[in-house]
Formats: sequence, structure tokens, C-alpha cells
Amino acid sequence: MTLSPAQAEFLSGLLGFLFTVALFSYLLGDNPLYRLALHTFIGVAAGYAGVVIIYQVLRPRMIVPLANGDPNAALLVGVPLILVIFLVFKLSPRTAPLGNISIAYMVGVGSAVAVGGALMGTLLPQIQATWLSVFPDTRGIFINNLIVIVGTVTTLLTFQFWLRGQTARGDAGRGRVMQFLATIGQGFLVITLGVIYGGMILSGIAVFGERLATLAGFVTGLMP
Amino acid sequence: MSIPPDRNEFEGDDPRDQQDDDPLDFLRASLFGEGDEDTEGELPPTGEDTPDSEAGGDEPAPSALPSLDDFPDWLTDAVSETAAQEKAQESTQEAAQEEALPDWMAGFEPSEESSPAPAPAAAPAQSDELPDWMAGFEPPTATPEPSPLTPIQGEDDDLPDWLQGAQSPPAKSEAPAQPTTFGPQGGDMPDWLQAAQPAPSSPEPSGGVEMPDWLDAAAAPSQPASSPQDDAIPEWLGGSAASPPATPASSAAGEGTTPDWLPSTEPAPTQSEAPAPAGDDVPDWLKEAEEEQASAPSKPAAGGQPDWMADLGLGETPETPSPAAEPAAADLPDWMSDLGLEETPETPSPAEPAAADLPDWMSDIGAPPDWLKEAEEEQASAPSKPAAGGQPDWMADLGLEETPETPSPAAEPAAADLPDWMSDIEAPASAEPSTPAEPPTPAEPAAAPSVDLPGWMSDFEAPPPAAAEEPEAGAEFKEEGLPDWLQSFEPPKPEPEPPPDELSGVLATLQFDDQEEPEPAEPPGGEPAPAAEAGKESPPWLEDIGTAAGDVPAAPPEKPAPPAEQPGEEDWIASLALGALEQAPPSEPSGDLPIPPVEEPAPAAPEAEMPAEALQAKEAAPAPPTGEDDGLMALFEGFDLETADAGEPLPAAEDPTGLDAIFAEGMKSASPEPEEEAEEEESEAVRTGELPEWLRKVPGSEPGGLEAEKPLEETLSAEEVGQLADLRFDAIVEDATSRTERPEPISALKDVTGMLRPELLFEGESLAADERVDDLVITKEQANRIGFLEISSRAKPSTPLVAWVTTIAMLAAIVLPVVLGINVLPGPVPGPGPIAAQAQIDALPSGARVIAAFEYEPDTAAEMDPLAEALLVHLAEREATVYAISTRPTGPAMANRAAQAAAYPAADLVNLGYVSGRVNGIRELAVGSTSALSSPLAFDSLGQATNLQARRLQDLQPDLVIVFASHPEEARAWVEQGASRINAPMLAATSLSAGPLVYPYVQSGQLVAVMSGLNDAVAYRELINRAPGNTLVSTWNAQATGGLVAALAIIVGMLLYGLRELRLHQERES
Repeated sequence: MTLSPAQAEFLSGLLGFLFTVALFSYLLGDNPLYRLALHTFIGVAAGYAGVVIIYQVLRPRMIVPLANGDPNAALLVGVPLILVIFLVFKLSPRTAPLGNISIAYMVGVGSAVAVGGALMGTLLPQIQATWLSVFPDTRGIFINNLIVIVGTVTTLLTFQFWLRGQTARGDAGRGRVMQFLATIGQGFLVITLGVIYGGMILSGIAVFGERLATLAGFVTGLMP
Repeated sequence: MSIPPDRNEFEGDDPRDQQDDDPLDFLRASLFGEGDEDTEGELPPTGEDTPDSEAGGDEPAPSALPSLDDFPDWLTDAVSETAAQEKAQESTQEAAQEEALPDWMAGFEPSEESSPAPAPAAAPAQSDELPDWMAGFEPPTATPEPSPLTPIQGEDDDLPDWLQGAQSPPAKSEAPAQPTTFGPQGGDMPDWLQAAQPAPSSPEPSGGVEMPDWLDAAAAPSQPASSPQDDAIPEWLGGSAASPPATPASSAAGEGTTPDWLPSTEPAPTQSEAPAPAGDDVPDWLKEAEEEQASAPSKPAAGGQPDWMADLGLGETPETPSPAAEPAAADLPDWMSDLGLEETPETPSPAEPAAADLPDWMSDIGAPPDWLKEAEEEQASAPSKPAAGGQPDWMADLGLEETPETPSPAAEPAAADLPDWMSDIEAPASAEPSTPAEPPTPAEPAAAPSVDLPGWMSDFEAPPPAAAEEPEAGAEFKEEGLPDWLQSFEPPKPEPEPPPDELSGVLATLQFDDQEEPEPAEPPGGEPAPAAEAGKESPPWLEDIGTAAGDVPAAPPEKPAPPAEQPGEEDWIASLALGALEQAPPSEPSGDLPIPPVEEPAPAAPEAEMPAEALQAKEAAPAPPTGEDDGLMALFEGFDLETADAGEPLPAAEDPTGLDAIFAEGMKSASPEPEEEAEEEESEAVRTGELPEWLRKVPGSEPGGLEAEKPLEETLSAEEVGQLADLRFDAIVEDATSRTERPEPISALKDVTGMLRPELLFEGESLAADERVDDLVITKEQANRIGFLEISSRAKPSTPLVAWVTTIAMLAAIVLPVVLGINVLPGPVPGPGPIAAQAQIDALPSGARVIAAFEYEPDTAAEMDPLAEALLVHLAEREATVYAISTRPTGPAMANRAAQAAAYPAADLVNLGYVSGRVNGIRELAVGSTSALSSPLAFDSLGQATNLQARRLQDLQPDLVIVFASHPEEARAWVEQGASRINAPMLAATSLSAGPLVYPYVQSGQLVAVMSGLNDAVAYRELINRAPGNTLVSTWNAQATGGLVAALAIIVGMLLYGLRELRLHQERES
């Protein structure tokens, strides 16, 4: 049976509506409908990911080279294949140590790539970006540079924990200058976190609005 | 030192042998006066006690002399030499002995002239048992027969040189009164002894080579008549070397040859010549010595005998027994008992009960030594020889207490108590007659000691000092050869006053000061040395002894006892004696020392009166002229010699030691009134340090330690009492109970703010406290916090209302625009991001290749799709080829969805699908993969070949890279791994929440622009003049109004909660 596009759109709209209502039902508490929708999404996502991996990773990059009979390709594919098999051993506690080899390889390579990328792609460029002049030509840039410099320095000073004084009665703390700078840094942190938090709220509102619009569109679509 | 073969000449009855064998004979003779029982056990008087010595010189020496084994060497030497002087008449063979003796012992060798008596025959057998060094001290055999010279010489081979000279002349029954002379043996003696030894005028000067000098001097024949060698004898030894025999003629003959100090050590005169009751307060031994010295006008050796040696030999009056010394002698330690008193079993000591409480060592101190007691006994009961039993073994062996007439039957039991080595010494002496006039019955007394005493001790058997010696000889002896330690016995200065009548034991013999020779006979080559000089040379401790002894003659009945404390006293013995003597009143019998008070023994005085008399005599006694002889006298003043004189038997059965009785009697008899001051002074002196440390700490040495124990609190200091009180159970319990009542210390957490349990504040003991503790623990601040928490708990019900209001407001803000299509806001103002993005895309050439990474999933599709659609629309306008790729499995789907929504031409869209490995996949895309494997760019999302030859994104020669990332991590990963390798401008379209974290890369130039959220999507559409759809506008309005409501809710919430906090603060303050 082949679904027409209208039927498919309706069916997808209906499922979307149902699962959306099911998920919103969590507002009333944990309920089977919510759990059903949750498990459905997890299963569908996993199934979709599995299919994607099979069709877009394993088959073209492992099965096809092995099937071609190319020894070089087979040799190169064999190493990842062995590591994959080791990962399968992680399913059993007795054979789990074999899977550590694959895990170690992936963690090692991933860490190396991440560290290298972070150092060369984030740290140094950000330091360079902060190396700004406080005597800019124009007013706006001056303010921006000043904000960047002050924000960066004070935020970093916020995370220094060199305390002075005695600790027996809780008198230990930063010096006055350091405390002042740290307070400024805390202000920048609060603003940054507030922006992130506000963005998350707005993102949620956007998703929620989209869902409401979908529901409303579906419902209005059903209406004659 | 090697023992010369003629050492055994001292053994036997031969006076000469006695002089040769026992170098202590001179001292023994001088101490006990060869039969003068009163002087037995006492230190020899000084040479200045010429009257006594002279008087005693005529008297026969006691048959049983106290053993010299316990004597110190110096004393034994003196004793033996005195005995030798007494037998100096028979010392014709001393010359050979002197050769064998060392130099220093030569002085102790009896001179040939003065000691012609041959050694006993049994001496060699006894000497075999002795060690070499003691061979010289071997007592004479019990055989009364005078030992010939030859066997003695043969026996002397085993003896060392110095001992040969020191060998005491054995007690000989046949020739008891013959003084021992050391003259011939002065060759081995040290110089100082040789000086003291009588000149080897004997025709047999064989032993003079080996005698040391000092012994040579000591061995000078005290027999002036028969010892021409007196010229060589030093003065101090001349008196002690050989006491002249009892015959006055012999002594007179030897007077010119004996040194000056020798007459002082001459044996006490015979009973007939020296009356026993010489003095009431003077101890018997001292009196006898004085009597001997005084009543020996015909003593030829008096001039050559040193004073102290004369004292040693003087005063032994057989008729004057000292019964009081006997019980004390039983308790005395060996060394003390050796000092002198003979034990007189017939005279029970009145001080027994007190002595019973004394410790052993103290009782030993307080009681007269055995030898002293024996000497006194012999002196007191010379005819009956009662001193043999009480006499110490070594003294018996020395023969100092030889009772000429009747050897004491008590000598046997005394010998039985003696150790073997002591009995050997004792044996022959008791058997020897003390005086030549009254030849003793040597059978009984000599047999018993010989059995008990070892052979080597038999050498100590002093020959019966029969003849008084010249006390003057001691002066020369002291001057010339007397060593320092012996000089202490020297009288500090000659005193012309008559010697005391009652010299007791060793004290009398050691008393040099008071027994001065009026006309000291200078030995040949010697010059009359004053006793003071000798006293200066003597060591302090000996000076003390000497002074103590010298005090004895100063305390005869007619002489008051010298003060106990002498400024020159330094020795602990002197202090001990003084402390013991001067205290002990009846009321306070237990003084600082257990030594009984000073009691000058009066032979005829009753027992009860004796202590009092002695004390009175002591008090009345003027200070001695020298003032140095108090120590030793005080040491022996405590000896209850009176009881011994009284002839009371020794209560050996009740009190074996006898010292207790002596002390008790002495303490009780002492009158408290006159003694109070002296006692206080004495006690103070003892406390201040005259007593040695060990003696002060001995229990019983403290006041009250003898009779009755004082309460502990009285004896202890206040601090000690307090410490003891703290250790008591009651105090501990009380302290424990009071401790619970004390406030418990609070731990360091007491300053910590906040509510803390009492367990954290207290240290445990008061954890069971009730709520009252809270009042003590919780501070005001903590109470405020508690109140705040209580208020907060009351405010909880109001929270849901606010939540509902906020929820409704948010829903209204979101739902109304979306559902109802009520767009409150007209449209967003484009920011720098959309503007830059638009410019960048506008700058793309036609047909440009754009790599679009769709790194978001369906959860964020509502926000990301509008951005993707807006950009794809613009790209579509620019007819760019989009290579969509994703590191997420759902990314390719999102790309298709966005392209479909943007109506992007399928031909210009290459969905490369999914790339595994996240960051590693991005790096692989940026770097490329090996050619052996298929490139991720080779297949699309549907698995179909893309026909791209590129193995990395760089190979695609993209014109723009657009990263659609819902999270900042994906955008950062693309920036970090690919921005610098792809060589294409990168543009990021992120969610609204990821935007702030991706903007820094725009600042760093790694991103061209960042577009985030619906606001930028709508704005971008407006920039490209592509009106957004209604859904997008509604959604954006919903988002905008929702955000606005959220902002308002936050602001309102801040205001509301701020006002609430203010109200709570006001409530807390109120």
C-alpha cells in the first residue's frame, strides 16, 4: 500500500499531534502516554541512527572494501573491524577488558584531536582576539574592546582562589583589589549565563510555539 | 710484690715473727696495748699520749688480739707493728725478714732487735691457704711455741713483699709481750714505711731490703732494749714497730732506738703498772692506753714510737675491761668491729633496745667493732680473758687483745662466728699472753682461732704486746715517712696534757692529738715531728678519723669531751660519728644518726650512769688542742664501752648484733637538757651536709627513725605531703567527682556559625544534657536563622500561585500568537549576524560550492530549520551547490527537511549523509582519509555514489561553509577542526542558546557571522526580501512574546521576592 502525499502528511501530522500531546501530558505527571511517546521517539531515533550507520558507514566504508577484495582496503578495514569486535565484547563482563582496547583507542585519538583542536582552534585564537587595543580609533570599538578585555580579565580573576588572612574564623578572602576585580568578573559571568539561560528559554519557547503551530495547523487542517 | 721467704717469721709466738709477719702489729699493739683491754677496739692514740703508751708498755699485751682483716691496711699495719714492738725483744731475726719485705712494708717488719721471737712452726701450713697478698696477714699458728725464723721465712715466699711487711706478728703464747719489730724488713717497704720502721739494728737485717720505706719505718723495733735498729726506724713507725715487752728493762733498753712515735704505740702497761680506772669518762681502751703510756717510765721505745702508733698500742689495761663495748661490738659491722672493741659477753649493753631498731648498717656504725670490743674486753678482763668471745675474729687473730693471764674462753665462740678467713687471723692472738709478766695460757685461745681463721689471717695475729712503746716515736714517723693518709692519725700538735685514762679501742689508738708524749723519743735519723704536722699531711678523711680518735683522750673523766663538730672535719665518718654522738637524748632518741650519743666509757661506772656521764664529760670536755681529731672520736663515742667495762655479758641471744641495745641505751641515757643545743647543732650539721648523701637517705638516720616512727606528714615536707595527699584514693575520687562539675571545654567548632549539634561543640561528656544546653550553645545569630527558616516554611503555600500565574502568562504569550495568529511584534531588527551572513552569501559566486553541516536534530529543528531555510533560500538564489553533511545520524534528514522546506533544487544539493566520529569525523573531512578506503564524500545519505573525487572538504573547493549547530559544541568542533583547513569562510547558524558561546569565534575571525534563533531567521528573510511564512512569524511572535513574558515574570519575580525578603528582614529585626 502506497500512501499518497496527503495521506502521508495527514498521518505524519496525526502521529505528530498524538506524540506531542503525549509528551505534554508529562505536565500532569508521569503517565503511560508520556512513556509511550518517549519510548517511541527513542526507538525511532535509534532505529533511524542504526539504519543510517549501516547504510552510510558500515556498508560503504567497511563492507564494500572487504567485498571488493582489495587487500589493502581489507587490511585497513580489518583494524577498525577488530576494534569493533572488541567493543562487542564489552557486552559481557568477562570479555569486557577486550573492549577496553577499542575504548582506549577512541578516547586517545578523540582526546588528542580535541586537545589539538581546542588549542589551535579556540585557545590561541581567543587569546589573540582578546589582545585588543584599549585606545581604539572609534568610540564603539573602544567600548567593545574595553568590555572584552575587562570581561575576560575579570572573569578569569574570578576563578582565582588565592586567599589571604586567617581561615580559622572565616576571615580569609581575596584582597580588596582582587575582590573588586572578581566581583566585576562575576558580573560578566552572570550576564553571560543569563544570556545563555534566556536563549535556552527562548529556544524552548520557539520549539513550543512550533509545536503549537503544528498542532494548530493540524487541527485547523482537520477542520473543514 | 713478691713475698719474701721470711714472711712467716711473723707467725708463731715469736715476737719477732709477729713483727715481721704482720705489719699491722704495730698498729694493733698501739691500738690495744698488747693486753690493755681498754684500748682494744679503739683507734690508737696519738704518739703524744706518751703516758698511756708508756704505761701500757709495761703491761703485757692481751693474749687475743682483735683480728686485723677488717682493718684498713693502714690500721692493720699500725696494729701489727705495735704488736711487733711489743715483741721487739725477740726480734733478732728481723733483719732477714726486712730483706724480704718491700720497702714500704719493711717498716712493719719487726726489727731484729726488737722482735727476736721466732715464727711459729705451724705458720707455714696456714700461709699456704692464704692468697699471696694476704699471706702476709696470715695469723700465727695456734701453737704457743714461738715459731722459729726459718719456717717463717720459708712461708714468706708466698707472700708479696708488701704483705710480708704487713704480716702481723702472730700471737704467741710463749712470748706474747714481745713487740713486733719490722726493722729488718724495711728494705722492701716503701720509703715512708721504712722511715717508720725501726732501724735494722738487729743482727739479722735480712728483711730490710724488701720492705717498703714506709713499712721499714713502721717495722722499727719497738723494743728499745733489744732493737738497735731503732735508729733506722722512722719516728712514726718506731713507736708502732715493736712495742717493748712487758719487761720494763727491755723497753728501757730500746727506748733510745725506737722512734719517737713508737712509744705512743707501745702496748699498754701491764695491769700492775697501768691502773684500769684511768679516767671515768675515758673509754677503757683509751684509759688503758694512756695508763700504759703514762705508767711506763721505763719504756725505752716510747720515744721512737709515733704518737698515733703509741695510741694504737697503748692503753690496753687488762684490768680495765670495757663491758659496754661488747654488746656494741656484736652489732657492729665488721669494719667497725674491727676497729676495736672487744666483745665482753659479761656486759650486756644497756643500749640494746635502741639498737634493735637500727638498721644493720647503722647498727654497725653505732656499735663498737668487734675488735674494739674484744680489745676492751681483753683490757678489762685480762686475767679471765673474757674478750676472746666478743673479740672480732680478725682482732683475735691479730692478738691485740691477748690477755696474758687468762686467755678468754669466749674467744672460741667468737671465733666460731667468724668466717674462716677471719678465724685464721684470730686464732693465735687470743692464746698469746698479753704481758710477759703474765704468760698467757695459749692453749685454749690459740686453738680456737686457729681453727676458724684461715691461714693467711693467722699472720694477722699480733704478738702479745707486752711492752709499752714510746709514743714519741710517732712524731718522727709522721714527719718523715708517714703517708698522707696515715698522717691523719698523727696528732695535729703535741699536747702535753696527760693521756686519757679511758681510751677505748681504736679510738684511743687513733687519737694522736691528745695522747702526746711529753718527751718524745726520736728515732735514729728521725726528728720529733709534732702531731700537727702529721695531721696536716694526712688526708681529710683520715684527719677526721684522727681527730675523732684524738678526742677520745680529751674526754676522760677528768677531761670534757671535745665538741662534736670540729671546723676541720670534712670526712663523712667524722660527721657521721658526730651526728650520732651529739644527738640522742632520751626524749628524742632517734636523732639524725642512729649512733648513740657520746659516751665516755667509765669502767667502774654503772651502766645507767654511763651515758649521762659520758655526755656530761663530753660537754665539759674542752676542745681538743688540735681540733682535728674529733671526727673519729665522735665516731666511736657512741660506742657504749662502759657497759663493756662493767663486765656485763653480751646479750647475743636476744640481740645478735647488740648494736640496738647499745644505741637504745645510749639514747635513753643521754640527758636531754644539756644535749638539746648540741643535739640541735648536730642534727643541723648532719642535715646540712656533713652526712653523705647515702647516709642521709638511709631510713633511721633521720631523727625519730629509730625508736618511734613519726607520722608521715611530720617527716615529709609540705610539698611532699601535698603530693602524697593527691595520690590518695579519696583525693582522686574527689577530684574525679569535682571534675564532672567543672564546665566542659568547648571545642574549636564553637565559633562556627549555624546550627550545630551539641555533639560537635562539646567534647562528649555533656552530650546527655537536655534542652538547656541549647540556650548555651545556640547563639543569637543562629536563633535568627532558625526564625528565618521557620518563616520560610510558613511562606511555602504561596509559591504555587506565582507559578501558576507565571505559567498562564507564558502560555498566553506563546499560544496566542501561534494559535490565534496574533502577531504582536512586527518583525525583528536584523542584527550583525544576519547582515554579515547575507553579505557573505551575496558574495558567493554563482554556482558556488557551499558546504552545509547540519549538526542539529529534530529536538531543535523548530529553531534551526528556519535558519536553514532562510540560508538555503538565499543560496538557492545564488545557485550554489550545497554539500550537506552531518556528524549526527539525523543530520542528513534534517538537511533534506531544510532543503525541502527551502525548495532547494535537488540538483544543487548533495546530501553527503552522515559522518561518524563527531570531532574525528570532522577532522577526517578536513584532513581526508586514505585512498584505500572510500571517502565519506563518495556516497550520499542514501548510499549512492556522489562521484566526487574529493577525499576531503578542501578538495571540494568550497566557497562557504555553513554550520547549522543547535549546540555550541558542534559549532566549536567545526571551527576548531575545519576552519583553518578548509580555507573557506565559515558561517554559523545556531540556536538561540548556543549563540552567545559561538560569538567569540566571530570576534576571533574564525567565523564570518553567527545567526541564532528565529529572530535572526526572520530578520535574514527580511534582509533577502523573502517574507517569512506565517508559521514562522507566529512562532517568532510566540517566542518573542514568550520571552517578553518570561522577562517580565523574572522581573516581577525579582521584585516580589525582593519585597518579600525585605519584609522578612524587617520581621527578623523586629
